[in-house]
Amino acid sequence: MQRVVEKRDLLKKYLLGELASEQQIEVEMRLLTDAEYFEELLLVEGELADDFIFGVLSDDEDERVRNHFLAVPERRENLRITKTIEQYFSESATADPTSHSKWEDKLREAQVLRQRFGALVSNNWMGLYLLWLLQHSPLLKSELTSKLNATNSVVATSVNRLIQCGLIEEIEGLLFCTRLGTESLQNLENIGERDVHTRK
Amino acid sequence: MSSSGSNRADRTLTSEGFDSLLEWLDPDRERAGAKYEEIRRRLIKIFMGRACSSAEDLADETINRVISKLSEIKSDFRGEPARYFYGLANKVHLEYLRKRPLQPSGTWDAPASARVELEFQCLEQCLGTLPESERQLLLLYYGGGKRAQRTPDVRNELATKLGISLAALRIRAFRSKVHLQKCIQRCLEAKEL
Repeated sequence: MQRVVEKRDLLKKYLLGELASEQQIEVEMRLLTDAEYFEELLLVEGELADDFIFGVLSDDEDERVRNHFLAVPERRENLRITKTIEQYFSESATADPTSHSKWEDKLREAQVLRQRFGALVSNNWMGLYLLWLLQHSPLLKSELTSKLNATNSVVATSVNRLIQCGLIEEIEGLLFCTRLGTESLQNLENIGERDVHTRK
Repeated sequence: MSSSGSNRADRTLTSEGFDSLLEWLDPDRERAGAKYEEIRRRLIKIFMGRACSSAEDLADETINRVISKLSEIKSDFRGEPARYFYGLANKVHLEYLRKRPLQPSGTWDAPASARVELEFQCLEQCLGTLPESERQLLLLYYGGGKRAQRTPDVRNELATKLGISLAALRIRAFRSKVHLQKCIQRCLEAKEL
């Protein structure tokens, strides 16, 4: 265990540019020839960036991160993204005690909505048009293909996405608009009307 | 290959040169390819370790130099090729130090709020590509406790809390973070196009 900690500390010092040249050569030669050691460097590098973001480095280490470690543009970019990740989770976790489950619910809901939206807008809004057609009457896939003047595969892709999202269903070859599909169309119409009122 | 670095123009990498390098690294072409990729990856990290701002270019320049010397050393060279790469990497680094423009090292700024919004959108999208267990882990790792209460021992404490080894925690958190970083970068590039 002690040796593991020593190895980690040595790599941290290397990343902070704190090693004497002989030590540096030793570390770099090992990085080139020892796969496990190189993987450890990647871990330590990531943790150093995390610790900088967490604000748990000593003043001296913090200074070295700013002046040496972050002289590399790729690291600055990665650090910026890490900061965003930290900020996002910190805000989620400290918002209120039940925020973990709220956050997950919100995420799940957002994913479902995004999928549904994707199914409707794909292929130049073909999904929405299909749904609108099926709301008026159930149709066979071949009938949809001829109405849309599109290829079988393009229509099949849109149909499958709508089925996956629960907006339509297929019963014995006939495609129906589901209740969710009807509600979604209704919601879109409401949004459209609200938009028109707002502009007025 | 990149275009910056010293005397790069007259040292363009030819396919014969590259083949010859692969042959030197390993008689099996597939294994040689993997070794080449690994050496390049590690050279980049070494140049980054030396705070070079163009680590990839310097790694490529090192490889080009090795290729240009191959015909002279190939028959007599004994030992680990990585050592030879290291020797030339040091030369490339010295030249870099002599030639690099005098400029202050990069400064760290927190992201601007408009960009944060965009990054949050991408983050939410990318979180959906991670398994539930890894999202939970990230939530605890990055959101665990108020910032002011964080200690340098944060990883040990979390590993104990989750009942997993510290090594397992470090690797899982690292992989999930790298996955997210790459996904967010791709997403941002797509949004900013």
